[in-house]
Amino acid sequence: MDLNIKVAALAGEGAFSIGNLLAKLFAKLGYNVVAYPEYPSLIKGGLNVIHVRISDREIHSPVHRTDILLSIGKDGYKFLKNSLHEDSIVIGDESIDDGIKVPINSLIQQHNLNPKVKNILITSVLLGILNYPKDYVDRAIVNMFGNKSKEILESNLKAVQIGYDLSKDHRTDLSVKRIDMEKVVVSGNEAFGLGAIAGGMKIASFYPMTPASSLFHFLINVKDLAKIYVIQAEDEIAAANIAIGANYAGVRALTGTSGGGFALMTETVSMAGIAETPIVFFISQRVGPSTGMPTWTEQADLFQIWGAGQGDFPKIILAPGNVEQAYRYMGNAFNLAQKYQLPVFVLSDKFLSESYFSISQLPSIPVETGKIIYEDIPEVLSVGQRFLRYKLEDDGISSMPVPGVKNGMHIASSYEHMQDSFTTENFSERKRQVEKRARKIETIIENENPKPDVYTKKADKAIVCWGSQLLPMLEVFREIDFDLIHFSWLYPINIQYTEQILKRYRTIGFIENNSNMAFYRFLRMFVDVKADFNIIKYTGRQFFPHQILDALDRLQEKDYKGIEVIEEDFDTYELYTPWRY
Amino acid sequence: MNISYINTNEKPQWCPGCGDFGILMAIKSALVNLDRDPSEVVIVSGIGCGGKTPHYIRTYGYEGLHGRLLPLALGIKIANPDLTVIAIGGDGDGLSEGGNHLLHFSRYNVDITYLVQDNQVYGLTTGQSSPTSHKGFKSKTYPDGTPIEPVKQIPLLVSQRASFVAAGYAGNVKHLSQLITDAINHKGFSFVNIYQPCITWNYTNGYEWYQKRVYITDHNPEDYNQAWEKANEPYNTNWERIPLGIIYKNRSVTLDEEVMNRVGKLAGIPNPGDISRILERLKI
Ligand SMILES: Cc1ncc(C[n+]2csc(CCOP(=O)(O)OP(=O)(O)O)c2C)c(N)n1
Ligand code: SF4
Ligand SMILES: [Mg+2]
Repeated sequence: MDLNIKVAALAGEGAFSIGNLLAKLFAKLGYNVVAYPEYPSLIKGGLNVIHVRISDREIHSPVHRTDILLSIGKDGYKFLKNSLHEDSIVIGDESIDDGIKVPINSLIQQHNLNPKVKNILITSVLLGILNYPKDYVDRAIVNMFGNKSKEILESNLKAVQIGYDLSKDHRTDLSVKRIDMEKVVVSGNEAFGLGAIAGGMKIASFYPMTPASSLFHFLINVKDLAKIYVIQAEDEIAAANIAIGANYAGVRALTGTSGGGFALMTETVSMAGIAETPIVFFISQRVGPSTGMPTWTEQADLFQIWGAGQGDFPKIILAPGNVEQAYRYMGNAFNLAQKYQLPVFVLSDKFLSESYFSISQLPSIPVETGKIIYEDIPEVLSVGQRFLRYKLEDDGISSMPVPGVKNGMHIASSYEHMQDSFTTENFSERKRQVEKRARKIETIIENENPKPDVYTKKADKAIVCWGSQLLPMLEVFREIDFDLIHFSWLYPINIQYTEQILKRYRTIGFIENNSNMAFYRFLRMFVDVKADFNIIKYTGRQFFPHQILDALDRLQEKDYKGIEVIEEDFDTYELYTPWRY
Repeated sequence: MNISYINTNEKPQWCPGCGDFGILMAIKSALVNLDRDPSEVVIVSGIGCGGKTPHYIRTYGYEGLHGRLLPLALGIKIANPDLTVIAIGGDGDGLSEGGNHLLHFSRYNVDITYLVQDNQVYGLTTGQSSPTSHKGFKSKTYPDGTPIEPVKQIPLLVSQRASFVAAGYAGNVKHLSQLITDAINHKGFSFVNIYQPCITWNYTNGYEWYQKRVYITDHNPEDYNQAWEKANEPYNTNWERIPLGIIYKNRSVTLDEEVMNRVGKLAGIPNPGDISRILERLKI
């Protein structure tokens, strides 16, 4: 079974809570679930759609096809019309043209229900049709509304009963049952948050910006369980400096934002570079430039991250491709930051951050602190002398006592400094410190052995992707005669090893969710590689698997040469910005 | 603590006669009176002439970014409230580049001491007008005299009901040192504006000029109305009378206390977090 349910309603009418509910209900029966919300930057009005995909085999990405449409109002029908097929089921309120019409308004009046139960009513009709066990739905409703008023809870429970009763008139041969152990549904940002908590993060500082905010909202929701403190700073500059301060004091702290907010953090990135203070930055990309399209997705900020901060200093850039990697990479980012005493960037985008996925389990994350010193140092400093915080070491990493540690007194300095941390403008001292910091890169490559993941069919052609585009590519991979190379560790690059891998292929293509082919150009700064083809998309949406397959078909006719730009199948403009019409 | 514990091998590189020497002396003698090991003190600074202060006191230190010393200090303090955290920087640093942070620090009320070296000029960048330059002050920026009004930081902080607002003077080290001691001992965000002669770029507001105007106030700093009156006195008298001392104070819960109450001690070797109960909560 591979069922694609789309829930569509105007903003404020609860499409997303239904999408989330459906995802969790099916994960409870052991199904694999993917859900992805799409919405304009509006609080009221404008169309919200959530793609909920349910399957008994592994799935990775939403697809275009609609098997079941739940539509409150007729905009959803209009928007998703060309994704419907002969056997699609449409369930909606009185306003839809075809399909199962639920007379929502008269039912609400007749049974004296709270008007907000519309979405639960329609959903229950679907759940009834699918033979979904009703007692789980009731329990989920109690879970969702138990802390609201008795009237709301009872209205919703009644709506479920009415929906199930109505479904009896609409039998299909679709039916769901328990197929596996219960799975947990997490969004990309929740997985990043879980990773941070598992990795020992204790303080998070942020200034709200979509699509990074929901990571911090999640941390706030679980703060008491996790024993962490989340602080909303006065701006992103403060958020970054608060996190640096905490990390300097030896407490793992995270800051995060999207590109616009990150622009404000760049001076602090550079400070972390020279002062060698560990810090983790989470950046969830959205559509730019500037305010762009705040609630849509793109991968166009790689050069902003790469170039962030004046001067020359080492950094680590990671771009996990799915929730499991999001969790693992974020947890480990705190180890990397402390072991190598530098800024670590964890990149996401709106697509990965806000998509939901079912997972079975998450591994624990071992904590490694490298040369951070938490215990008092027995050697007494002589009068006037400081701890050699920036001692020249072969691996580029010097010991870092945290404040409170006896005999570790030193200055973390944004100025160039000598080994004992005092400011210097001595040219050879300066040169030695630059070289010491640069040596970290070799140390990282040696210790961490960073490399791309290769999904192989032993093909002589390969497609390269990075970050969240692993998701549609894993769907496509099943159907094409290409190897798939995914980079989640972007920098530092093991140049020799990467070249060795890429040299294996006769034909190489890159696929990226941007117009600037950022990763291809980035990789070429280090690695000798020439793309035969590039597939790019920059409409504001991620790739749907069928779009990639179509592009590959077109490319085949051109001997896999050239650039394919993906168009959207349907222009959503008038639906997402209804006030213009 | 013994003064030799906090001396450094480096000698300050300020212009001879700079007010920053007096401020350094006052901080050091306040620290000597403090019953703490130098490893338990962190001095955070911004960038400017005065920003170099942490280099001349052997405690822990962070010489951060121009204007960003306050959030840096906040991060350190909430991570480890056992530390004594002092932030120090110039008037340009704190009131221009870092102005937004200052506005919010009365709200956070994190228990740090913030010393502003207020020389009414940009020292390190060679003599431009600063946010506290008096109207008419001739500078590199405004050779014909600064045409705009100065920031009124003491009334601003009093109006925000910051926990501790004080004015000190680099030319009265004994008084300043006591003020810094009081600020450190006060639980809450403690703001000390220190009038600091810059003998190289500010010929108007020198030692002689201050000597005629400053006096030590004896009003009740816990009375908001009296505090407001004193905070505004320099502006109401066109700088004829400049009160020194604690202008205003109150005591309320600090951010570091709030963090401590909610999550307990955070400092020390990091432990992996347990996510099992969170995963349970995500189920329905
Ligand atoms: C972001 C940034 N902008 C500008 C500067 C250059 N700069 C260094 S110190 C300073 C002003 C110094 O004035 P103040 O803060 O009053 O300190 P003073 O030197 O007077 O003690 C400026 C503008 C900088 N270091 N960083
Ligand atoms: S320029 Fe002014 S503030 Fe800077 S050291 Fe000289 S006297 Fe002091
Ligand atoms: Mg100044």
